[in-house]
Amino acid sequence: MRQVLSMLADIRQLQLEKHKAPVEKVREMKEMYRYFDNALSGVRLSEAGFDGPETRLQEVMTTADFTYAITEFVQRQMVPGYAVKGFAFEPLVKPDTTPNFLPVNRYQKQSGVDDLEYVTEKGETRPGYVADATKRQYQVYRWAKQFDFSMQALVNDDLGYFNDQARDMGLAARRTLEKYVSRMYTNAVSVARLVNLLALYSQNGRLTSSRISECRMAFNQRVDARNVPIRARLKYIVHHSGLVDTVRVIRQSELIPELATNARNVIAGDFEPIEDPHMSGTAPNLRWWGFVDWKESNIVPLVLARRQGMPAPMIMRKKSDIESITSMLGSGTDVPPIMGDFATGNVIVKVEDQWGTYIDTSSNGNLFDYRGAYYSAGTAQ
Amino acid sequence: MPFYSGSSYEQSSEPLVTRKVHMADDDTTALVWPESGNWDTLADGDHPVLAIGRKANRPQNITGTVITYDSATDIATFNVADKHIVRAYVANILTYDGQAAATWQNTVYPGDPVYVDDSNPIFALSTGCTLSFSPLSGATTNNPLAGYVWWCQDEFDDQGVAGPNTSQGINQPADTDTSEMLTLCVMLVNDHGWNTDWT
Repeated sequence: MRQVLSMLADIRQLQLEKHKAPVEKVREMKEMYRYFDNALSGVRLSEAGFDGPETRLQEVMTTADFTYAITEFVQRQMVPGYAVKGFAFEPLVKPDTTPNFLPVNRYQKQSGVDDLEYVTEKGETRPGYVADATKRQYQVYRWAKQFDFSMQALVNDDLGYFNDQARDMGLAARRTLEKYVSRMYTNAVSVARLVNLLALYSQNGRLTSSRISECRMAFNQRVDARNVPIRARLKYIVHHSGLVDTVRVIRQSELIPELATNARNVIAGDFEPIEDPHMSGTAPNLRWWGFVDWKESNIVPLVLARRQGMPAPMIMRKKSDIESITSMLGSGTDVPPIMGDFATGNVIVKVEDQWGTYIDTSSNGNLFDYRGAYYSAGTAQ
Repeated sequence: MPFYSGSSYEQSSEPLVTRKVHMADDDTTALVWPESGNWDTLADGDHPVLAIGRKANRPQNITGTVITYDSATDIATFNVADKHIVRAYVANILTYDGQAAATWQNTVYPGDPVYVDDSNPIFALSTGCTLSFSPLSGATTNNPLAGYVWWCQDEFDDQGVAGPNTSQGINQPADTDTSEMLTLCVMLVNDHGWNTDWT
């Protein structure tokens, strides 16, 4: 009740101030409301003695008595949206730039020349040969999404629901790119390529310290196109989100965690885990991949190309085709973008990015160089 | 289930040809159907595909998608553009025997024709469903052609990484020879699908 009286007093004060009432009038009003408040607060001493409770001014007005003024309470607030996971894929892919949307060619010498040969006395020195380069071709494509809003919807947005639209569109571009990189090695053709290369390129065991060691030793036995050993070293284990703790145990154990022996866990700190939140899978059959560091070995398992001049997503808005005028033939002035287009008042925004990778649908999948990757289906215990 | 609603109905930004449609005229003849009665009553935020014009004209009715609706004025704004694409509820019924479904579209392919259908089994399935695969209604009247099943905007697992997409992303019936309501993308056309010389 006291709160109601206080509010009424405030309202009255505002009314009086609005009508520029004299200060004395405002003071008088305040005293009257204070009298009400005091009278409601308890028993008062009067000339006849203490006023009994029955003579007090009773509380007659409650919140429920004000169907519209008080009871109809509306508060609308946005609460923060979810914090989403990211995929730090950058170390896995070699970035490249293309000048336009046409395919670009990349050549790599994937072997040296012949070994020397024993030459007999008066014998001939036989000719060696130089292998041709390996050709890889790729191009970039457009990735985009547009959103149309009516002008009324944007004007009616008193919550600021669309305030983060531009940011969300940028995040969507990043998320799409993350999924794209994830698909480069998780797609069926890329997986089949590694599986068909058998034990030095794939297995089906669940992620354990011993199996990471097998993966590392498989990389250690990599050879080039002429069976010359190359320096391939396991650097990254890319795994399903359900394997985060498994990876932590492996990295923090001094002894091999899955074996009841005193054998030392020699791979503990020798790899860097990367969680891929977009990878599908159901526990306990969770997949994992091994990758080399292309910077130290020039073995490039994956490549991500972008178009020159387009290093990041671009967020665009269709310019309003409306002009504000005061006469038919006079010059006009631009209107706020929220007015949208002339015909329907639509406000159209778009986010676009441009990227691509090496695609070989028949053999390599998206593995630019299969020698830099290792795969496990994660099914065998 | 009521009419398709929410912001996900739009599957093509253009073409957009908006036309104002009075839901109720002076007489009692239904000019926008199927809506109200056995079907859901239109509310703002609903985006069903409906036929416009007297049922007596069927199948020569314009079909379109409700963009906005104002109950105070009982006026709807339709997108009547040719080849615009929307997500809509479609019953998998292919033919009727009387007022009962007789055959069904057990596998849906992009390009399959879709009709505005006011037959009893449709609203029995869902009061928000206005489309089916049946060119004839349960009362053996011609249903106006709404359009064709089309691909929805979607993310495919192999999109852009391993050649052609292998997934069409089309919602398929869970069972065969059973009436079901599917959520499909439909490309609307201005052709009502019938040549009156045929009859």
